[in-house]
Amino acid sequence: MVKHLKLSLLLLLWCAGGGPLFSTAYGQESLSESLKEEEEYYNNFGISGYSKKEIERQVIPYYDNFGRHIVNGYLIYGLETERNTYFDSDGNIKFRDPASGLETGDSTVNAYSNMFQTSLVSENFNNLIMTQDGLGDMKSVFLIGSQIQTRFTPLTMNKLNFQGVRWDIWTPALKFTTLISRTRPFVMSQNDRSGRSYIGYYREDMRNWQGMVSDELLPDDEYITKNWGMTAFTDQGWNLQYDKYSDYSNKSIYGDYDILWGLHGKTNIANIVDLGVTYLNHHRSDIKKGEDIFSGDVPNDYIPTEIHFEFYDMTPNTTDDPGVYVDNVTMTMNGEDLGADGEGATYLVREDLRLVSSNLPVERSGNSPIIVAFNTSSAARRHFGDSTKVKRIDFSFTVSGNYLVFVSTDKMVAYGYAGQRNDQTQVVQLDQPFTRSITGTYQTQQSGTWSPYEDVSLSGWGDVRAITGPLHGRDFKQFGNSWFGDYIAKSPRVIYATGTGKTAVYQANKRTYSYTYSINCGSVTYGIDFKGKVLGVSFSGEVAVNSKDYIYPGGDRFDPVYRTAAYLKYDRDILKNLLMLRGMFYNVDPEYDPALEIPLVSQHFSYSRLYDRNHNKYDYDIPDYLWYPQHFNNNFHMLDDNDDDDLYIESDRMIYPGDLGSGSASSRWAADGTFASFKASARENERNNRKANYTYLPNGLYAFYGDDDGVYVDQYDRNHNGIVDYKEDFLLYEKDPPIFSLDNDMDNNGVWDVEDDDPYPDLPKGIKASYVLTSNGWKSQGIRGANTKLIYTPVKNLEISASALYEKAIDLDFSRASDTSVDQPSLIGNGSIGYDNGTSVAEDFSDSRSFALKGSAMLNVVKRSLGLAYFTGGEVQYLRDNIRNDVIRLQEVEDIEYLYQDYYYQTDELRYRNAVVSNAIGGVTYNNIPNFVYSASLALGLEKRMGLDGNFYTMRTLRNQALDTTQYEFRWEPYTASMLKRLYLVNKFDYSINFNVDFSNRMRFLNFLNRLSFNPQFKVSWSYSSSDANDDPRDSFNALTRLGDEDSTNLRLDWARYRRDNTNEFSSTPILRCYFKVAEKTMLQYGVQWKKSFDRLIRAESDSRRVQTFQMLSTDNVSGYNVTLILGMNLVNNDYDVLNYDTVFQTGHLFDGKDTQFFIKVYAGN
Amino acid sequence: MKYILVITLLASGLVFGGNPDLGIKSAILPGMGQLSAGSGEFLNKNTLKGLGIMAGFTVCLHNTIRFISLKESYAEQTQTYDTKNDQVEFYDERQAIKTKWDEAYDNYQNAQLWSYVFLGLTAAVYGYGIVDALLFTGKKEMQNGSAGQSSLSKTGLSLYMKDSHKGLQVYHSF
Repeated sequence: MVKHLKLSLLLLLWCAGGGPLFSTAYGQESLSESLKEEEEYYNNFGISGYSKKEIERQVIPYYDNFGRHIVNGYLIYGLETERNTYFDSDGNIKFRDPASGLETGDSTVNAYSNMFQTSLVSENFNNLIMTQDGLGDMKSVFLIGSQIQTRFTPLTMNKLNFQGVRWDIWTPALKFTTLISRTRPFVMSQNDRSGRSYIGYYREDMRNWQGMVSDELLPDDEYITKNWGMTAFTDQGWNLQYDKYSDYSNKSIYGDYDILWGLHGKTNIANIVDLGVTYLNHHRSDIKKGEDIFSGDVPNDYIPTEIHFEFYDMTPNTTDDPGVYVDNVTMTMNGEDLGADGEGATYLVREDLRLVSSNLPVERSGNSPIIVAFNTSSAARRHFGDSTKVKRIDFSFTVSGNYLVFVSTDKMVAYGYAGQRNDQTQVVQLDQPFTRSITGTYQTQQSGTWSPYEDVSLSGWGDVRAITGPLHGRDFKQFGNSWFGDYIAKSPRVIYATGTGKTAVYQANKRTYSYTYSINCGSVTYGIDFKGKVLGVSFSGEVAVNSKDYIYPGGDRFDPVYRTAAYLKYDRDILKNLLMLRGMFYNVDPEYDPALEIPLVSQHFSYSRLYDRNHNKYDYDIPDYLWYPQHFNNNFHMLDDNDDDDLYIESDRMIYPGDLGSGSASSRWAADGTFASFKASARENERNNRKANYTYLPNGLYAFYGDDDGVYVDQYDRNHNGIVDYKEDFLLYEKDPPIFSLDNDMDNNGVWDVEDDDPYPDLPKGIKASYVLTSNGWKSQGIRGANTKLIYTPVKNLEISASALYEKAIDLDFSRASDTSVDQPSLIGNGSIGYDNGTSVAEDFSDSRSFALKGSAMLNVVKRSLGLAYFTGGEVQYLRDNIRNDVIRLQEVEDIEYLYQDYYYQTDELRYRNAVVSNAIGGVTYNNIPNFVYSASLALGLEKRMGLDGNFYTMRTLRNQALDTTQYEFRWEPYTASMLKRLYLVNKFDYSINFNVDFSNRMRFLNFLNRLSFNPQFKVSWSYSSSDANDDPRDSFNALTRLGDEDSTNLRLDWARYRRDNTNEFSSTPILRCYFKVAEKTMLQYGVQWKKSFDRLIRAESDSRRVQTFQMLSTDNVSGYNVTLILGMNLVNNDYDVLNYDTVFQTGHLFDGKDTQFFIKVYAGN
Repeated sequence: MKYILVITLLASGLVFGGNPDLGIKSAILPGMGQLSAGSGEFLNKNTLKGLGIMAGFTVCLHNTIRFISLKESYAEQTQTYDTKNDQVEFYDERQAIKTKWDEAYDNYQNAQLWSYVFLGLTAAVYGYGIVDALLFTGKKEMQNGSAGQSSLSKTGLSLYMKDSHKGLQVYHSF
């Protein structure tokens, strides 16, 4: 044992050599399972090959640069970057219009990054072009495509739909992969065209695919109406419409683009350890400056003319607690004090959205920010001559209370440009990309007319205009109003106080932060991964260091920021087949991400004009980041979010570029993943408009979220329709809820893991970083921890285990600078939070940490001779969970058209802050009678919550089933002692009836009975839980009382809390299935199910649901694929016992239902 | 008295012979004992009997749950109308609510009646399933012989039925 400990320590130190931190995997799974993850991660196709799409028609002969014939076929893919430089006689760089040959002011015309891809690469999933070759033991494969599953290691590259070029080399000793891709702007896949990185003023591709004549740049109303079948672009003007439907993949406003290249190699050393090395370089370049393949660059056009800060209250929905208090914000340029120019202008936001000038210090409690804006252009001109002389801009701000700080610039608004064609001359006048300043943004609607609150161009702000760019009568209403930037600080803990205590908090908790404005231009990741067995210890792990380069546009390049992620898993037999120890150490630094940073949107400045599905009216609801691409990255991840491990990325703007990225007016998606249909334009209450795959967040914003076949793992959604099987008609018989398994909620967020789908990039199994919801995105606070599990197997089939877990979030305030200047973070224990007044407060356990002790025993027995199988088990867990694991859950799947799925965001209420959870399960299956199976399962549970002092700010998700809406409620709550009891009982049986008759003569026709079979089934269950934590608010509710909004909210909250812990529901479901075999591979099927739900807690939720399904199923082998065709219909009747909708508690239902559905589906596979 | 008789009969069947294994199976799930005796042959009498009992039990239990659910829902609905009645002032509105209340109450009464009927039937089918399995269902190989004699039993007591003869059989095998 001592030896083992020493070895563990050695491994730990070795792992730490690559950085100060490291990590391991949670001992929830066997070693073979955990190691399997790595085995499958790196997929070298050199030896195994990959599916290939043949080029069936050989049309055009192609030749190489030396004139040698290459192939007759199609140009499939091309990527090239070019920069042409022209000089005048004085040596000054000039820009030459390639069309006219004359000088132009457009700096982007002489350089481009061009990518081309044809539809041949994107028509279906296996759509890559491959050359495969080999000589001796060496194999080589080239792959080009848009959906290449590319996995290097769990911490570096886990990309489901890699688009680009990949070269795999395989030898017995070494496996090696290199890759390159332009990750932004994306390229159209469905239409044969090129994608240039600069704004496509002269868009030959556009002309080609939309049939426009040369030099006709923007389609007019008539053209749109005629060719796209759309009308009514009248009062809004067609520019915006065109803008909305235009091809953003073909341009980047300032000529910047992102390139990813990298390599991964893997070998074995001395037959002891598999060793892998990874290098990934993701950078952006400016086509005008040329390619910088190692550290990247950004165009000088990003030099800001305004930088503004938004200070938010972290508890915006409660106003009697501390809000945000801003003491001062100052700016320096090139290290120089700017005097009055460095103090900025402060604004508050009134209820009518007008900006009101204010002065610092100022306090704000509620949901509108304090804004401090700096006119950097004006300051630069006064102190240095012009903006290009500025090499760096630094800020210092002092803030207290409960705060969240966002920073942005006038250049980081949603993409937009405008142009107008002169009908007489046919000349198109194009505006430059538009920018926007704070004061020019806010307008107020009075008497139906919108007018600017303040015309900035007249206010002495120098060269900042209210809205620059669109010169043709457009204003912000038509171009949206979203700012992108970064959240750079938050209060390390949420503080509770009322009355005069608030003032004391503001004074005592001041913290001063420093911030240097910069743009991330490069992201380089170095990784080493390993797996082996030494001295009886099986181990696997990885150390990855990400280095990010930051630059001030046209100015200084700052020191890189290094972030480390690492884990180490170990597994050791202490006594062979009797006692085993396994565990994991892990560390993921805050904001560790191999990809370039992704800008987040402002919580407040995030709205736009909208259109609903049927009308061209507009409103100001959903932020326009759903419409318009954003600067930089556009949500490209190297670590995809794919928790259910299927073919679809979950939290991505882009689903599949090949499938959906057409960018045409009739398509749902633009090529970069933005919507090009009305789906995102829906109003909340218009059901037929609620079609988009996005989820509504507690802060009022929306996040893209979508997975074509739902978010559940195959095991619980075998038909991949997004409905978990134990809730789905007919399938509910086969599958029971995961309550009959132990440790079914490993992250302790109150959601079974099979229904739990986090929106974050996937990390190695067992590691979940701590995240904070900031806007339409999340900021990582990192995670550091360890776990270990001791497994005792005294007899076969019996496993007894004990495990422990400890982990902590690393950075609590987002600010790297504070960790060295204000706080003293601890490696694993109590760090300290520093304040300006010199005091230092120790971190509480509840600030950042989780701890769990678990013991469990599980017995599984199969007695085949008796036709009997049974299991029994139990567990006890002591939990102290303070790391929020919010998830996104699937509410329902619309059946009118595919792809319409409703998600909702479920907050982690931290119900196990201090709790003991115990469960006992058991079950038996008896199948010793031919054609008959009976099974019964029982789960019993107890949850004892031990009270804690103080109040906790809690966000709660309230789902209204009847109205199909999601609401969030916020309040300070005590954590009181309580006890919850739970029971779940299931009984079910099934009998199969098959005929075996052999009639002759006139009775022969009865032999058709042999083609018939029947399968009656019955499932009955009882689910019960009861807690003394809350009383039923309905008992004390007096219907004659007049309720205010607050009363209603409190009642709903009380009810939500009560409902969550109290259930008493019976379910009875007889099912009858009949099958008739038409031919060897063709079958007619009929099934009917009567499901009765009896909810004793909410009787108005009790219902009878009858479902009948007729279907014909046929299978065959076509061209090497197994093809299955299913066609049929569903008849569904849903009849509630009573229609009694309670408007106060929002229980019950308004309508019964009757649905008729027809379906045809074709599946193909191997 | 009849309950005591039934219990005594069952107990004696369990203690002294009959088919305790089948009885226990049918106690777990009505009809399972008979299915077991039918050995999976669909056209076997015991199998059909078992399926019939199982189907009957399913129908009765399902409808018991259904009508109890309806009964409680309608009961709650009457309370809802009571509350609404307190909230309105005008005669017309009260009359409308009263009509709905009457309707809900009638539904409640009907659901209550049917819930009792199906509850009784469920109990009856359940009991019959056990008694039948215990006393009147033989193993397949013994169907034409002395019914109910377990091949594993050496000494036992059972009711038997063969053709038109019924009676009590005491047996001992060597």
